Amino acid sequence: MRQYALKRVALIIPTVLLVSIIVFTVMRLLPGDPALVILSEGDASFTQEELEDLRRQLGTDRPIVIQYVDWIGGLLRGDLGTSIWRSGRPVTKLVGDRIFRTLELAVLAIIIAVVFAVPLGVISAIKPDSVIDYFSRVIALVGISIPTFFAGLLVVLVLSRGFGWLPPLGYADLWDDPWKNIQQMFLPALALGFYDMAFIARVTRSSMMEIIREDYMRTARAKGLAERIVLVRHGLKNAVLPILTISGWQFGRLFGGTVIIESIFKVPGIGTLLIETVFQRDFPTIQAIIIVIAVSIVIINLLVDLLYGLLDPRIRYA
Amino acid sequence: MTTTSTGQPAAGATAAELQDIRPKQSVSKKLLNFCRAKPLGAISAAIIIITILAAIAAPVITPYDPFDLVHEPFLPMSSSAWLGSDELGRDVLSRVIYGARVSMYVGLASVLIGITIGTVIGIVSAYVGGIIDLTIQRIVDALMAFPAIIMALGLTAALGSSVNNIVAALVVILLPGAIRVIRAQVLSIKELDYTLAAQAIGARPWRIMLRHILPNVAASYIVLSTITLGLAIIIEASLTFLGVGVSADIPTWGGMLTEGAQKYIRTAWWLAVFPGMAISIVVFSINFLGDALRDTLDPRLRGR
Repeated sequence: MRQYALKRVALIIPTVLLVSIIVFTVMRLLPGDPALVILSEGDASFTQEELEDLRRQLGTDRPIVIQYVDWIGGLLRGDLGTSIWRSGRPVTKLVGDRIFRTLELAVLAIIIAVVFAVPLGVISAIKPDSVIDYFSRVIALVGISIPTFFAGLLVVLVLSRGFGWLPPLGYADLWDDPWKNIQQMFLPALALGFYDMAFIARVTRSSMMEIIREDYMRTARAKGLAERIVLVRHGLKNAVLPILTISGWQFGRLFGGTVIIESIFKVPGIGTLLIETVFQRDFPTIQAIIIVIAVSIVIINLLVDLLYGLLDPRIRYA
Repeated sequence: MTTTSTGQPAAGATAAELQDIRPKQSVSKKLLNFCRAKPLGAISAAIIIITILAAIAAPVITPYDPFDLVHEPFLPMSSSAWLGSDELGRDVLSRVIYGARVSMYVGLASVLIGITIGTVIGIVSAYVGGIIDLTIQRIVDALMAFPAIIMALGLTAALGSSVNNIVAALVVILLPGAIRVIRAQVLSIKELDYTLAAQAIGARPWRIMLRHILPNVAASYIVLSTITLGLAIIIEASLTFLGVGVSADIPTWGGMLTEGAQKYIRTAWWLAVFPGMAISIVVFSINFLGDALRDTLDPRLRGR
C-alpha cells in the first residue's frame, strides 16, 4: 500500500505543474497583452503611460519565464497575487474568505445526492422493472439532461409558487446563524446535487445488479442471514467501490456547478467571485481561482484513488 | 506483444465464407433495423433533426419577429401568443425557435471540430507511442482537472465572448475526453492481426492509421460526437446564462433564462420554463440517442 500511495502521490507533481502552465498560458498569453485588453474595454481612451503603469502592476513588462517562475514561487508560499481592482487586495484573502461557503455547498450537495441516490439505486436493483425502479430510472435520465441552471430556477419556482416558501434573504454564514444558513443553503445544494443524484443512482443500480447475482449472496441467504444483512453487509459493501469513485469524481465536478448555482441563489462563494472577476477582466484573480479549483480537484481525485486502494487490495497490486 | 487472442476469424474459413457470415445491409435497411430495435432512440433522433430544421427555417416558421415588441408585456399563453410574451412584449415562441440556432450552431460546430481533432490526436498518440504518447497523456490529465464550465469561463475571459470564441473554448474542453477514449481504442486495435499484417507487408504508419485504424474508430467517433453534443449545448447555455456567453442581443435559450426570467419567475413563470424545457428536451434526446447508438454501433463502449 505504501508503495502504491507513494507512486500515486509522485504522479500528481507533473500534473499540477502542467495545470499551472495551462492556467498561465490561458490567462497571460491568450489575451495577447492583458493590460491592453483591460484598458481598451468599452472603448475607453488611455495614455501610453497608463498602459505602462498597468503592465508594471501586472508584471507583464518582464520576460514571460520570469513571470511564470515568480507566480509559481508565490503559489508555493500561499501567495496568489494581487487583484487589479479591489484596490490591489491580496487574492489569497479574497479566495480564503469565500471558499468555505463553496465547500459547504458542495459537501451538502454530495450528501443530499448520496442519501437519495444509494437507496434509490439499491431498491431498483433488487426489484428491477418495479414502479420504484421505473421511477428512479426516469429521474436518473431527466436529472442528467436538465442543465444545472434550469434545475436551480425550477427549485425556486416550485417552492415559491407551489409552496409559498422562500429562503430568508441576506446571506448568513454557518457560524453566525446556523439555522438561517442551512435554510438558505438547502435549496441551492438540492439543485446542485440533482445531477449527481441521478448519476450516482445509475451507477449504484448497475453495480448492485451485478453483485446480486454473485454466489456469495446466495450462500449468505442459504446460511439463514436476514435479508437486510445480506443486502447491506454482503451486497452494498461490495457495491460501494464504484459508488465511491463516482461520488469522488462528481465532487470535483460540483465546483463547476457551484458557479452557476451560487449566481442564481446569490451565495457569495468563489463561484460568484469568479464571474465578477471575469466581467472585470481581473486576470490575476481569475488565474488564482482557477488554479485553486483545479488543484483541489487533482487532490480530491488523489484521495479517491488512495481510498480505493485502501479498500480494494486488487488495485494496489495491479 | 504479438500474441493476441481477440479478433481471430474462424479457423479455416475462406474469405468468401466470411462474407457470407456478414451480409451487406443497405443503409435504409440498417436505419429500419435501428428504428425497430431502439424505438426511443429513433424518436430522439427525430426530435434532434426537427430542432435542427427548425433552427435553419426559423425566419419562415416563427409567427412573429423575435425582436419586435408585438404583444403586451407579460402576456400569458393564449391563441395569439402560444407561449406568452416576455417583459418587453416579445413573442416567447418565436424567441425559443430562434434560440435553437445558436445552440445548434455552437453545439454542432464545436463537436465536429473538437471530436475530429481529438480523434486524430488520439490515433497518433496511441499508434506512435513513446515520448509523444506520454507527453500528450500528461497534458490530457492536466486538462481533465478543470471542470468544463470553469475552463469555459477562463477561456472566454481571455478570448472575449463572441459565438466563434465560445466554439473555440468548447473545442478545448471536448478535446481531452475524445483523445482519451479514442486512444484507448487504438491501443487495442493496433495489436489486432490486420494491423500487424499491414505492418508486416511494409505499409507506412500514416497509411495504417488512415486505412486500417481510422475506419475502426468510426463508430466511437459517432457515439462520442452524440454524447458530447449535449454537453456542448449545456455549456454554451450556461455561459450565456451567466452573462459571459453569447451577446444578449441574440435570442438564445441560455440568454432567455437570465435576469428577466429570474426576476419575474413568480409572476411570469413561462419566461423561464419554455426555454429551459427546450434545452432539457433537446439534451435529453441527444443523451438518449447517444445511449441507443452506443448499444447498436459499439458494444465495447458500453458502461464507460
